[in-house]
Amino acid sequence: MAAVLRLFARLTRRGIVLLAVGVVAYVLVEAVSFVQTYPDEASRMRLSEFGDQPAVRMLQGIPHAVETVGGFVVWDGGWFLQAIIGVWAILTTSRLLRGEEDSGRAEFPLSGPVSGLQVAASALLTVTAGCLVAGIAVFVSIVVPSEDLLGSALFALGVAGFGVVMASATAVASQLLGVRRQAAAVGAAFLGIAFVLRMIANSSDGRSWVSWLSVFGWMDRLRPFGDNNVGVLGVYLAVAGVLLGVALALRARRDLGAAVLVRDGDVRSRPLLLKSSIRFAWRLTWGTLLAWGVGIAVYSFFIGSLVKAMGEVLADDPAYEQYLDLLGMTKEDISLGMVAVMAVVTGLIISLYAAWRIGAVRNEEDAERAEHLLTRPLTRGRWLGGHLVLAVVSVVLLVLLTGTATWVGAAVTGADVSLLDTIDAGANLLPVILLFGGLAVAMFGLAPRLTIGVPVGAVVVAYVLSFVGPALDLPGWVVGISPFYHVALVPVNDFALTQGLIMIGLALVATAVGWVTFHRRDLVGA
Amino acid sequence: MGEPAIRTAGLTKHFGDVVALDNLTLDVQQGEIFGFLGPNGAGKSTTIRLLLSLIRPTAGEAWVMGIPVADVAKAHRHVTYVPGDVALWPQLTGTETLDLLGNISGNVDSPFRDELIERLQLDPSKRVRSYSKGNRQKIALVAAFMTRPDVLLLDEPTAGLDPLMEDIFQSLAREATGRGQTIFLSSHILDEVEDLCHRVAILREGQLIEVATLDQLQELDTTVFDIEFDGSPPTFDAVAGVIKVESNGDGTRVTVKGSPAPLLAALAPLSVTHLRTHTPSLEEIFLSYY
Repeated sequence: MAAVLRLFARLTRRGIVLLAVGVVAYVLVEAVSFVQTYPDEASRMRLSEFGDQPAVRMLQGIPHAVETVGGFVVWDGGWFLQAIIGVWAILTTSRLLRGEEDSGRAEFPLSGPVSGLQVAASALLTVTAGCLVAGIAVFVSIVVPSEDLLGSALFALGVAGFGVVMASATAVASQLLGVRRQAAAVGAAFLGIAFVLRMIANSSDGRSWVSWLSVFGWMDRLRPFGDNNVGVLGVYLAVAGVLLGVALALRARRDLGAAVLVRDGDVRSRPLLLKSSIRFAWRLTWGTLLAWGVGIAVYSFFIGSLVKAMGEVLADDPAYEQYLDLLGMTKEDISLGMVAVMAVVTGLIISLYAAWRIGAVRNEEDAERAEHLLTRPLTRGRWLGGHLVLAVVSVVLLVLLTGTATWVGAAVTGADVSLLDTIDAGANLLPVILLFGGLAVAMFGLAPRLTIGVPVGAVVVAYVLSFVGPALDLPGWVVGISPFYHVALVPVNDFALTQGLIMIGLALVATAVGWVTFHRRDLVGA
Repeated sequence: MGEPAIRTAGLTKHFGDVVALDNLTLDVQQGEIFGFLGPNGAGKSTTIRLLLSLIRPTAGEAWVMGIPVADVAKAHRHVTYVPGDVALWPQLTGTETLDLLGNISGNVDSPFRDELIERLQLDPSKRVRSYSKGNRQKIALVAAFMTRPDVLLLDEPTAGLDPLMEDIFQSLAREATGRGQTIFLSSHILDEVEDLCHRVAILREGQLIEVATLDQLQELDTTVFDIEFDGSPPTFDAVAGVIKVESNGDGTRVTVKGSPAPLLAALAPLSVTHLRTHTPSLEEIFLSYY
């Protein structure tokens, strides 16, 4: 069993390291932005007024102890941190518990002296350890600015506990369903329902009992840096324990590759999108594109619906006015300014999509499936070209989607923002997205094993740099490396044409490098 | 016989410091079933992947039906390929997979495709994820034969098939070459090669060490002696020409390369109770090279 644990640790360690680095970066950005935006006691005290804004309450949560840096991070970024770790836990659990069986790789460890139950237990131990590492990352990065040991520990355990609960729910789904994607979708639905339940719980004080039903809601009960209700940790433990027990009991009862709810046998063939390699690429990707689209649309809607409420609270905050001055904005610009700033965040998410999309091309090569196409009269250029067209088109679709969804959210809550404003704000990030996509193509040609890792790392570092760099007074050329630093705040300010053209030029150069090197190199499989 | 189906000139491939294929020069004629033999890592798959332009040569050139292999759009109109381990899209059904591959190839002979599915006893209505290794291999075989290509490059194509299917594969291969198609078969199943191939090439550590017809190989100077002695057998290590000695039930099997005279001289003073000689099977030939 130790050998299986080592194997799983090897399979997941890169993801865990990325997760921990991302968590540290995110918490630091939150903490720095708190200190920057709310430098004095008066401005911090005003933050609790957000509790009177229904939209903010429902979407962001009820502010507790937000006058402290720790309480602010829990309220402002806690749900997002939990969501990130939850998504990692869902993907990793479904991969280790179901994906490995899908691919037939699970047969290897099982031919040794270990039972299926032990393999499943090892997988869950590995994911739990990953969640705890993420929790430690939260603890380390929040304990320094907050100087509050108990609050930091509770926040960290709450975030890790969220991940473990998501993992154990996905573990049950992985036993019930025979396909990894379905198991992951059930886990994601569990996470989504928890978020909606928390919105209901926070919609009015009378409904607050609902938060016990939501994994997200337990953090509102835990209240780190405020009431510090240590006992709530027991809820995470109990629920995760029960779900894990069910998952392991189900595993003990089934065969390898089988599922409790089987759906095997003949299926109807759909001769859809099989006519050419580019159409087939659409067939392979549309499901995932839809998932990204739904996620981005929901997030953008959420941001759009917060615009008005945030604007009203901030409008009569003198400290914030100074901050706006710094950005070259006036009070009238607050709504549009928020749209502009939040569009940068969705731009970051779509940049990650672009890297993932090129990574999917690499995955076709790595899994040796591309060979079936490339040994037919299909040139590498047509194959890769089709995927590049697909990547650009889907990125543009996602940009239009985020603009539209932001506008819908803003319009529903009566904010003074036009559809053109939100579309402009989204399109403003296109050069940045294309640049990171181009970087992925370059890596695909030069060092295919780094196709996803390098651009994803670059996106995160660039974003953190654009945020933290000025705060730390780093020299201009260092901060200037980040494409995000060169993005104008559209629609408040005009699109930075020169910078945009330079980024598109660099994206084209990177794509050309990837194109040429891909044509010269060998195909490399796993 | 016209243009060779496959031609390589000084084809060489290095992976870093490792020489996977060294200076391979080879002609395969049209209508031939050409066996490509060698242990794991000898360079068989490397050669096939070079012929398909999946990997780029370090040096040398190769042609398929007279077309440089790098001209994929043209060369691949004449070629199909079956890998040893067939990875397909798990979410597609067998039918969808064959549709896709057929659309990209063009020129599918649909009645022949249906006949192939029938003969290989493939159920194409299942999803690929539920197929065994053998079934995935059948999909790849159907896809390779259904366009009736001039050249089939097969890299251990029957590793997952049962003996019944192996037989059907062999008749498909013979019918194909009967129509003038060429089959380049990398294999380490020697019975299959012995039954099927007109000529074989033997590869060792990236070097071509022999190309011959099966008949030539078997006459090629190697003789196997099965000898039984009255008493304990002597050692033959010092005898010229002996390349292998193994104990064989009651007796000893001695393989000799070149003239058997020194062995016969060594045997003369001994009390030999039985002596039988035969030309070696392909397996014995094969092993004599390593």
